[in-house]
Amino acid sequence: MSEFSVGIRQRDTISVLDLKGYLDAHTAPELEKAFEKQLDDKRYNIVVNFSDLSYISSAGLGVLMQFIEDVRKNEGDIKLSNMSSRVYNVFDLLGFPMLYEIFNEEDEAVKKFLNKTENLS
Amino acid sequence: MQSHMKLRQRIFLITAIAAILLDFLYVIVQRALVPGDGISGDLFHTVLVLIALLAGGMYYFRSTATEERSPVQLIGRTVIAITIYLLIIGIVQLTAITSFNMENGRVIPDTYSTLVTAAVLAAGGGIAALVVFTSLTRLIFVKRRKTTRRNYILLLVISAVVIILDFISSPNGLAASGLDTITDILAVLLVAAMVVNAFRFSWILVLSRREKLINLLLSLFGFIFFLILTIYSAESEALNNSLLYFHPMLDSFVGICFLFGTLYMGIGFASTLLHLPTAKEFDRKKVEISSLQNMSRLITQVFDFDELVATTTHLALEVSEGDAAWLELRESNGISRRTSKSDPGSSASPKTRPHAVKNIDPEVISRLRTPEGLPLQHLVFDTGKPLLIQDVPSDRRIAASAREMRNIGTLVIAPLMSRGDIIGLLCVCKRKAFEFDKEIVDVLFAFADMVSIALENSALIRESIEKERMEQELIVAQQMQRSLLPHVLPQSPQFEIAARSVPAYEVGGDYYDVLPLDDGGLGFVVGDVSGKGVSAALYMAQVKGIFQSLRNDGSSTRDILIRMNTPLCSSMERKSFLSLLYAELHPGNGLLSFARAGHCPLLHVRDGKASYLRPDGMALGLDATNRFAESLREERITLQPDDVVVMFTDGVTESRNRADEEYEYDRLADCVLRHQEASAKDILDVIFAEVRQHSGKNEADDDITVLVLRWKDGI
Repeated sequence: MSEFSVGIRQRDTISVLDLKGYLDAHTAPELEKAFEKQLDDKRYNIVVNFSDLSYISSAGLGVLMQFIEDVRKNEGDIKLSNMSSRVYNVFDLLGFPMLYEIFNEEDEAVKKFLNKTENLS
Repeated sequence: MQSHMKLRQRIFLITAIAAILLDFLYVIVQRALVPGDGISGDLFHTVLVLIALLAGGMYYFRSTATEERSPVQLIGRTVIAITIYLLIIGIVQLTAITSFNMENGRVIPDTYSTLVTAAVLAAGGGIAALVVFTSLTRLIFVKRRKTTRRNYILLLVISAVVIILDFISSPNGLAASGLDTITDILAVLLVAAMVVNAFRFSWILVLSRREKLINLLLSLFGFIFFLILTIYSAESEALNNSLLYFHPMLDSFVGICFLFGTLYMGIGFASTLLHLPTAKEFDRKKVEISSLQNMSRLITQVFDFDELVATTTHLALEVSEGDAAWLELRESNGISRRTSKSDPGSSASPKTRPHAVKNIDPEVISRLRTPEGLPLQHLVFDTGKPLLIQDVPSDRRIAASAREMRNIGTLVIAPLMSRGDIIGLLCVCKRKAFEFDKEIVDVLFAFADMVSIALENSALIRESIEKERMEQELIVAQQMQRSLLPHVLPQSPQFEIAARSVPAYEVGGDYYDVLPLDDGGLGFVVGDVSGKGVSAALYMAQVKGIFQSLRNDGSSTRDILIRMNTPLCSSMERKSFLSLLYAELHPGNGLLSFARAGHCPLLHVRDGKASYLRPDGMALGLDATNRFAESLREERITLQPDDVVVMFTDGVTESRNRADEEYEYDRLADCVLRHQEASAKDILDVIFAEVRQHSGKNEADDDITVLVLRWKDGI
């Protein structure tokens, strides 16, 4: 059976979700829970780090779609980073790069968030 | 039947009253006509007394039968009857209105007032004795045994003989002599029979503690009053003479009843007293037994989870006489045993939630924590053993803030185990400390085992119902999906088309269609809805409908997809989307125009070369703004003879083998290249065969859909 896990880290005001393993229709609810927790805690600046994710199915992408609207409504964003080429191809094929900012490194995504908050203040 | 019974009863009552009144009249008239001699040995008078006694007895006996009195109530009636009688005697005694003469050993009332008083005392004594007689008879027959009836009849027979002998020998009766020895022997036998019959107290055992206390008081008063009456009837002239004068048989009947009453109440008092110390224990055992019986209810309630947990705490309180109870159940109870790793810093004990909380504020429960701030159930999850805290306010395992609440004194937490896992906890508490003894705790633990089984069964049933439901849904979805796919593909000498979609067992969202266009062209649709089941099939149906309505209005493939996006965005769930490739073939010139909405690219093979054509475009249903249109491009190619075009879904290229390698685009291109001379049908078959060979299993993880178009020749 495919295994999947989500780790949650805090970097400044930013939540980083570390995905690991296979993200498919069976494991997507785990990721849903992680996002729900962020929204419950009113954390809307979210970086998803894909470095240890080996596979993503359309159900996994669906989770991102499920939350992006609420996150952006609250002045936040979901940014994606550290995708393997295999995972990136899935995103790319479906046209997700037009909807999400995808970074090579987590730091870049974090920096982008921090710059934004600095600019605001 | 009931009214019939009532009618009979009424007849008995009227007969008794009539006999008493008639007898009073007769006695007074006799007195007037035959002064001095009275009514001693008078047959008519004797018959009237007997009729009154028998009819009254029958009436009262029947009334106690239909009302189903409890033993304590029967004792109570007896005590009330003799108390009233005692009061009457007391009044008579105080007013001292009786005076009797002795003539030839006979008792004769002096005055008419004495006569009337004697009549009243006699009637009262008769009625009281009847109440005592019938009540005690009923009591003797509670939980009767084989010998009960025999012993009772023996008592009746001896009593009857004694009464008759008294009548025969008494100067106020027939005044026969020489019967003293027999009378003495019979008296001894009578007392012996009374003692044997008086030991009929098995009903005391099953009384509740409260009932036993009531019974103790009643039988004490009963004993004392009977004793007074028995002694008094021997001592008091007024009472003794009244009854004796009125009728010696009545006198001895009343005497026997009162004596038996004394014995019965005395023994009853003693045995109640003996049973009292164990009464509480007995009560508890009784509750235990009934609770154990009730527990079988748990097993029948597995179909309704809420009812099951509510019954559980209700019974837990009943079993333990606790003040409050609740269940802590793991949040994903029974449905999924996979432990969640997404909780940061989660401790060893899983998260639980209180269910079926009875008589306690959930706020109080949430404050029950260890000094480290962990929920108290942590202690049980850690050890897997039940926890008994006898004195919560001073127990150091509990945080000071929780101890200060002072509304929990004793607390028991029993784990609910299932297949070696703790699935939840049963918590019961008392307001005061040191209230649960070992027996209660043991019963609670046994109870917790039964609850575990019931909960486990409930979860299993829910799972199987859910599985059944999902299987049904899958079947419906598969049927819908199949009916949405084209049954017959168009044929033409210019081209060959072959297509197939093989649904995976669970995940299903692939769709393809071939639509004839008005200008003689053909539209090809290959799509993949994210999600599965009925909802995916419904989106497919929507897509099919949109294509049916849009395909012929002269729009480009790009325009058609753009016009589809808006309705799909509004109808699809947020997390759902649809990747789709739409191509139109114009047989007149072999032009193939197509647009790709986030879908797998189109494979084009010509002259031994394979290329994937991948115009830009994002999936449908993702973004309702202009971004979709901005992203989308149309591409056109003009087909040449023997060109092969393959459209497919990601089930093909993402099909994985055991080494976790995907089939990938390159393998697919190679496969088609190797068979580019073959017919469309053969190419299709070969692709499916290779994919299956690659994955090494018959059942695919995802739907696999392939559409092969082979262009033969332009006109």
